[in-house]
Amino acid sequence: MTDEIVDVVIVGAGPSSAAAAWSLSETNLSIMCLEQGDWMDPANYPSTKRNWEVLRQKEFSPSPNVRNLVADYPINDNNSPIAIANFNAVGGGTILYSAHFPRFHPSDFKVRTLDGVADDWPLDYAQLEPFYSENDRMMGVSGLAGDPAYPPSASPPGGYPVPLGRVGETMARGFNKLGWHWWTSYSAIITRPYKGRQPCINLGPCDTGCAQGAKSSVDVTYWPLAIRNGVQLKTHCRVREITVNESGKATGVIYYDEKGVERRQSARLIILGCNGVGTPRLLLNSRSTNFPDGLANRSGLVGKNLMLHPWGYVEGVFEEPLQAHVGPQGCCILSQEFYETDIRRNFVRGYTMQVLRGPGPVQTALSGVARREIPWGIDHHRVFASRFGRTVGMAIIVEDLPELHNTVTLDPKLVDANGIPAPKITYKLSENSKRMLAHGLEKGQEVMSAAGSHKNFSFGPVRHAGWHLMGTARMGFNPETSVVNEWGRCHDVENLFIVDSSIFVTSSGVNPVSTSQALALYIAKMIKKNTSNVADLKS
Amino acid sequence: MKNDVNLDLDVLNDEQERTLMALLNLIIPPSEDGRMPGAVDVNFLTHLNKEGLFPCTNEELLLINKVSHEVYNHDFSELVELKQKQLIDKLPHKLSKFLTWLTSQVIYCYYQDDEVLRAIGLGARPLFPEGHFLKEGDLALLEPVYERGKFYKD
Repeated sequence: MTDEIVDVVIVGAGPSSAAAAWSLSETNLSIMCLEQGDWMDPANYPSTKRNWEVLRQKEFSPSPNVRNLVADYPINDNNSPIAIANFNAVGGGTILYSAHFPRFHPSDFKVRTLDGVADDWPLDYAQLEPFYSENDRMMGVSGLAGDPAYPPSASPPGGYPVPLGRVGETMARGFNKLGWHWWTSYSAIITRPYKGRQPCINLGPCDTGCAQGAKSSVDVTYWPLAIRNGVQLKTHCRVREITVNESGKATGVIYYDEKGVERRQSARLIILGCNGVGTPRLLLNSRSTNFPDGLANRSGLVGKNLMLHPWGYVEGVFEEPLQAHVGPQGCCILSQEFYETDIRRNFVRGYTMQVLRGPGPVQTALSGVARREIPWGIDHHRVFASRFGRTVGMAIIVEDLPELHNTVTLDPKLVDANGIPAPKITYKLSENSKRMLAHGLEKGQEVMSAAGSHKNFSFGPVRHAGWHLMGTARMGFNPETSVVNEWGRCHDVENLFIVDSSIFVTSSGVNPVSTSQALALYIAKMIKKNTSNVADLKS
Repeated sequence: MKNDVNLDLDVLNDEQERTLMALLNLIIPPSEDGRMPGAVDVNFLTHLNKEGLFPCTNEELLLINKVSHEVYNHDFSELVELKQKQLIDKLPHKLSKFLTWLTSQVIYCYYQDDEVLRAIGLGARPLFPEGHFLKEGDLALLEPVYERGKFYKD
């Protein structure tokens, strides 16, 4: 088998990979991306079909174990109260994400200094700010500047905030009544024509793909530009391992193509963007004489410190019709009233309250019947009518702190369609997370009542909400306590970089994509700055 | 029952079909004002057929009717609603589980039916390309938040 060497191979075509690929494509480097999934066809997204609520339970389920598509690999998450969610395609998780796009706060980068827990990041908010802004422009982010919960920044370029609707207004009044912070969502959803894309038309289920193309998934943002700049994106290519030479430098990857044929791609530099589960899986599967415990794992930290953001769900039912089922499902308003540590509470760090739109008719009926609130029989219609369009949801996004016992390892038996060992998740909530979650559920119900809800419901952690996969190849200055350095380069392998959220030191209390992409742009810039010749990397 | 004309109903025998229809009527009957159809009116057999779910129903439907005969000496479909409900409360775990599953399938089918969607105020159409109008909302509600000023930690 022979192959032509390229300068850069990027593994995975998700949000961080796409940002890095675009940034590096502005050089004369030859770049190839290998993605195990395919391009998505927006014409086939559930919102183009009558049975969209059925499809979201199957082919568009967030769980790869439920979808079981050719592009998917199985994940053993039986030993975790939170099931792993992902999507394997060009665009990765952004195909199914709800596009809620807040940034980390300055405090998130220094939790050790401020709160005496976990570790500080090797960089800070100010260093990342230009990359957050650049990413907002590239992705198309809508919202409103001036939020007192954040340092000042430019107006989001993708337009005015997504409409509040009656849900947003009603909840805003509730927050105001309690004197609590709230703000319009930062949404990776354009509300005006932007870079050739048309604005949001409030289809609703953003988390099943956007047929309108208004949701900023990277298949419609970064990738077309990167490809125009010469990046070669090969789909249906599942990477099995990264190869190294005797001196410990990465030499390329071995992958399986669409027909299952084993192939090799040589590269001078390799970038991983496979998320906080896929990246450690690939590193652990890349064992060699030099790296018997997995590539770049001399610290022993590859796969450790998994953080998942335990989610709480709060629901309120209102008397008046709110048209709650209409609008971008995950984007409305948010509150960060309980984001920063308050020593009067029995936990450190904090959480975001993310107001959601209400469920569609099928989900309204299913959950109502399951909870024995919507009965069988003649009363079914009356009770359903009192719920549908009048039910508001809220997610509580709890900051998860890193713990060594929360891990991604290789399952001893489970393999994917190519025979590659599958990941196994071992995870439990810390006492701090449990207390924070309980606080969030209580406060969520409090604000629902303040907004006028006459019936509240809450639970957590939500099982199928393991979208935010972080910490399993953490960054840091010290090779003994981190996997990559302050600009994403593996301490142990000088031409191997990681750009996805596995390098997060802590998780924050917000959705991570904005930060992982800002980091990817930062790392790409550092690669460009520090490496005039990628065949001979010198930092 | 309407509209299941394209389906070969031989997949269920008469006894199974009678029991199924009685269950559908028990789960979601038509509304008293006639505005909402019942679950028997929404092509449920077509739904089961399309989803390949008949094998999941046949044995259980017969078992429910068997229990009905054991307890009341009548077909389940011949019982009055109250007795049907009482019987369901007494069913063994396996059949209760089946009814939970059946209810979810009824809901999937019912709330995708054109007539039902129109009756609850939705169009009988996919969400795309029409989308929805949504009120922008009053951003003056943010005034108290502005007034409070900075509260993040540097």
